[in-house]
Formats: sequence, structure tokens, C-alpha cells
Amino acid sequence: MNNIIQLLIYGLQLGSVYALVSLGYTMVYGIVRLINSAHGDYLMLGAYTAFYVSLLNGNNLILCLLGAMIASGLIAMLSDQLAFKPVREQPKFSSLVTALGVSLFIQNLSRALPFIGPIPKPFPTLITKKLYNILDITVSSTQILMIIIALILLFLLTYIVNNTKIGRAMRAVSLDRDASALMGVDINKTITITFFIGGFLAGAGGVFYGIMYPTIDVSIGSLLGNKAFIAAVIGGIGNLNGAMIGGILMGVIEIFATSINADIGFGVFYLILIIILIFKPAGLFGKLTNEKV
Amino acid sequence: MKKYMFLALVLIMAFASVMAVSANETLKIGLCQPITGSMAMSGLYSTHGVQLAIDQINEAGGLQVGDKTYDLELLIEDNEGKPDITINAVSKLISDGVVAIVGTNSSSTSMAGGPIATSEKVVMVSTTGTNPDVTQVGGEYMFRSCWIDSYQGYLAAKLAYETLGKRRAAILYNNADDYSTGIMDFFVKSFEEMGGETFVQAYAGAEIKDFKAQITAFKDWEPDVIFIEAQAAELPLPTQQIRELGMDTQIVGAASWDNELLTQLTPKEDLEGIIYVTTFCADSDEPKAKEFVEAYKAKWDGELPMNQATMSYNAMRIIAQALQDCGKVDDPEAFRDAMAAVNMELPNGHFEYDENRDPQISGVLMTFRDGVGVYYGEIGN
Repeated sequence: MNNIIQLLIYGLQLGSVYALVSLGYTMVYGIVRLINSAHGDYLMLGAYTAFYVSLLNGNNLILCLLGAMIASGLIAMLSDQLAFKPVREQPKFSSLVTALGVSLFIQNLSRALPFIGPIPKPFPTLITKKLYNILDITVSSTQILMIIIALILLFLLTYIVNNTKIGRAMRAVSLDRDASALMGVDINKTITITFFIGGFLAGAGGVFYGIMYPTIDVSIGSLLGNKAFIAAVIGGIGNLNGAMIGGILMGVIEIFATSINADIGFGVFYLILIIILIFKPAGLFGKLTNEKV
Repeated sequence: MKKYMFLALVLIMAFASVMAVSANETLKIGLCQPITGSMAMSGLYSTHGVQLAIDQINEAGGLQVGDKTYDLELLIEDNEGKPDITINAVSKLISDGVVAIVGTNSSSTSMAGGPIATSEKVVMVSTTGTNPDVTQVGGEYMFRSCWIDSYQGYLAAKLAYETLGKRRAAILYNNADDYSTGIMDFFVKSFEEMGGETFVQAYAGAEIKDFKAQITAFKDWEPDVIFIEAQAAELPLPTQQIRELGMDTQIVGAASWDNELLTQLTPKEDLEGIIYVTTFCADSDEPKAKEFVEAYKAKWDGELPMNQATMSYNAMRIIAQALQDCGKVDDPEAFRDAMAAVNMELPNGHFEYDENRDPQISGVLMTFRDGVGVYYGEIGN
């Protein structure tokens, strides 16, 4: 029993990172119907930004987090302006391939940049580790803090989307882009802000990733982005609550499956994805809509 | 003026040639290593190691074989780290008349060159081809100066069971990696034969970053030692997570831990006290090792001998010893038998071959103090 709770805590910790990344996926998909495979790479750049912020300013969690989030947000915005905007009116296939290209470009450019490079770097210790033993269950200060910060960010995002003007614009664009344009919503501005927020969350995910697995290299984003995408699909892509729950679910399932058998731990994602898509093709929380072609 | 210069030159040359003739005959030794390409650093270290051994022998008056003394001459052929080029390089060295070949540094190129050497009856000594198949595929003239993966697993088990007196070993390994899987198998087998209990957990590939589920299982089983061995880049995360989850169990490992990148990526406090078995430690207290390190540093501008340089130096020393034992330079079969029967002391300890021509060398134990790998002790058969 203790073990189950212990594994659950690890799962929540991992799941909170997945949730942050899959939210970005889901938001961008909701607004521009684009599966942005470069999303994981924003996370990687965020982790490297935090690395350099800590090098310049010492191990300050808040500064690193802010630096990483803003940098990732700006890079997401920039990649939208430079790569996705020109193909926005093209068939969807173009933007899908563009996203793959952006992802490869970011990874390989980073590998070539002298201050990032191909050799892994040690991520600084941003949170002083303290272990608490409650009834045989070990909880670390890192886990508590990470889960709390993730919850704050998720709450903030929900608030922005549901209770602000830009949030309303985002929901409107997601529902019907042409109609919202007619109603006076600035589509381009909304899309830019969506990309920024998506990158912003991925940046936080990057810092969390670095704290959890303190070895960072240029490819950390690709696998994590992949898992987060599955989480978003399971939750119902385009649906914010779905992405959050999907992410946390993925984290918990991964840890439990690994504890049963290391080989299942990885494949189980895809199995769950297939099962959910068979019974609920739109994901757990998604609504099935007829795509207008 | 020019005339005198010329005369002087002729005199010097004549004198030199007289010197050479009056001294020893030369014996050619081949070196087949990647001098160019992505593994060029290995080739460089290997050249340094072999050249040092040859210079030492020549400076000591040459190699005494039977009743003759020979000066050794090194012929270097570049194999670019590629199996097909290795075949040409080895053939070239053999046609140049070498008595033995040092090389190559990788298992795949050694397996390409070995059969050629065997068919021409020339002894070839791989420096760091650790795959057990190297001497099987290479044939009866193929030897190596490094240990094989299975032996490494055995030594690590011995470290845990005998040196540290541990009885319950938990093992974490990468089941998608041949190296890690092979060493795990032999560790488990040896540790159980010695009388210990084992508990194995796998992870599925180099991209796995989270080991908390496996470590939680370890915690339940309560091991008194944890063995982790995989490629060096995969070692920092499990180590950190074991400590993060509050386990302070002794960790042991094998040669992958002897890696600079690993020490950069892992916090000092997590590495502290981890003991691993490797082939050679530059700050060993053994007189033989100290002597070698000093000589190597003096010759190559303060460079420290790493694994490749040491194994290459050893390969050359083994060849020289076998030639002496055999007493002739023109009897390949006797030379081969002398190689197989070699029994000597090398900088990293005692050296002899088993029936598969795989060395039973003693290992060195190292431990981390303050983030740096330092000498801990010796371990042998």
C-alpha cells in the first residue's frame, strides 16, 4: 500500500511536467489546428536558458523559471512568425511538415551552437533537496514544490482562458476562426499570444525536467514532446482540462507500468492511446466535430 | 666549404651505418589503428603507448631473443576505424614483414583483421576489442591485451562479494544494450555462484530518464549493494535518483564509470564512495604502475595514460615477452604458443591468458572522492 502511494507521488511529479507540455500542444491545436512537433524543442531551449540564467545569477528558482518561460515563449512566437504564418493558408499538410522541419532545425542548430553543443550539460540544483518521511513514504521538497508550481500555472492558464478578454478571443477563434474575424477579433494577435503561452508553459516544463533529470541535451524535447502529444490526444486534443488530466494520467501510468515491467513502461502509452481512440475517438474530453474540408 | 660539409655528412652517415650494423638487427612490429577518422584519438593514444614500449626496449639495448639482440622498429598503418580498410592495412603490414601486429582498437575491426593475420600466421594483439567473439572469429593467432566483457562482470561481482563483503546485490541494467546486458548476466552468475542473492531490474533503452519505479522495488528488497553498468552517459541519472529517494546503499560499477563526462554530469556528493573496477588507474600506488605513468608523462608532454594507451603499451610488452620466451623470431607456431603461455607483470598487474586467449588480468578498483576517481585497491582472479 505504501508503495502504491509512493509510486503515485512519483507519477504525479512526472505527470505535472507532461501536463505543462501537453497544454501547449492542445492550445496551439485548438486555435490553428496545427500539431506542432517543435513544441518539445521549446522545452529544451527553456531548459538551456535556465542553465545559463543560473550560471549568471546563481541558483535562483524563480529567476530561472521566469527566464526559461519567457525565452521559450518568445522562441515559440518567433517560430510561428517565421515558419507557420507563411503557410497558414496552405493545406494543413504543409504546416505539419513545416513543424517537423522546425523541430529538426531547432535541435540541429542547437547542436551546432557552441554554447549548447552536442555534449550533455549538468542542470544546476535549483531546489535544495530535503527528504520527508511520512509513514514510510519518502517525499522530497522538490516533488512538493514542482507539483505546487505546476498547479499554480495550470490554474493561471484556466483563469486566462475563461475570464479574460484574450481568453475569450482564443475560445472564439478555436470555435470558428472566420466568424470571430468578422466579429472583430484580431486573429493574428490571438494566434501569436497562444504560441507565446504554449511556449511559456513548455519553458516551465523544461525547468522541471532539468530539476527531475539533471542532465540536459538537445534531444530531451523530442521524446517528451511525443509523450505530451499522446497525453493531449488522450485527453481530447483542443481541450485544456483534457490535456491536464491526460498529462497527469500518463505520468502515473508510466511509473506504475515501469514498476511492473520496464519494457511495458514505454509501450503502454501507445496501447492506452489505441484503446481510448477505439472507444472514444475524440479522446476522453473531446467533442467529435465534423471537420469542414 | 660546401665540399667539407658534404664530406662531414658522408662521414657521419658512414659512422651511423657502421654503428647500426655493429649493433643489432631490426625486428619490425606493425601497428594497425585508426590514425584518421572519428576514432583518431584512440589511434594517437595507441601509438603513444606502443612507441613508449619500443623506445624503452631499444634504449635498454634491444630485445634479447635467443642468442641475438634486436632493435624494434614500428610500422604504422591507418585503418580509419573501418573493417574493410583494416583488411588491407593488415595485409600490407604482413607483406612488409612484421613479426607481430598491435591493433586494432575496436571489436569489429579486430574481427576483420584477425582472420587475415591467422591465415598468414602472424600474431595480432587487439588493444581494446572487448567483445568475446574477437578471439573466436580472429582465429588462433588473434590475442588481446584488454579483458573481455564477461570477465569484467565477474570482477565486479568479486568486488561486491569479496572485497566489500556484500551478500544481497540489486542490479540495474539497460536491456536494449548488448554491453550492459552481457555484463549484467555475468555479474549475476558470478555473484550467485559465490553465494550471494541478486535482484535484477531493467530499463528499456538509453532514452529512459526515470528510474524511480525500479529504485522503489530495490528499496523493498533491501539490497546491501547496487550494481549499475551501462554506457557512461546513462549512469548519472539513476545514481542521482537512488540518492534522491533516500537510499544510501553502496553502489558498485565497472569500467564505464571511469569517464570524465560522468563526473561532470553527476554531483560530487552523489558519486562519493562509489567503487568501480577498471583496467588501470593513473594514480595507482603500485611501483610498476607509477614507473609506467612517469615514463609516459615524460615522453608525451605530461599526458596521462588512459585505457587505450595502457592497453597498447601492454600489447607491445606482451609481444616482446613472448618473443623472448620463445627464443626465435622465425617460428610463428612457437611464437603463438609462447604468446598463449605468457605469464608476466604489467603496469596494471599480473597478466596471463586463459584457454580462449582472453587475458585474466587483474583489475584496479577506483572510488570517487570529491568528484574525482582515485585509486582504491587491486582486484585479481
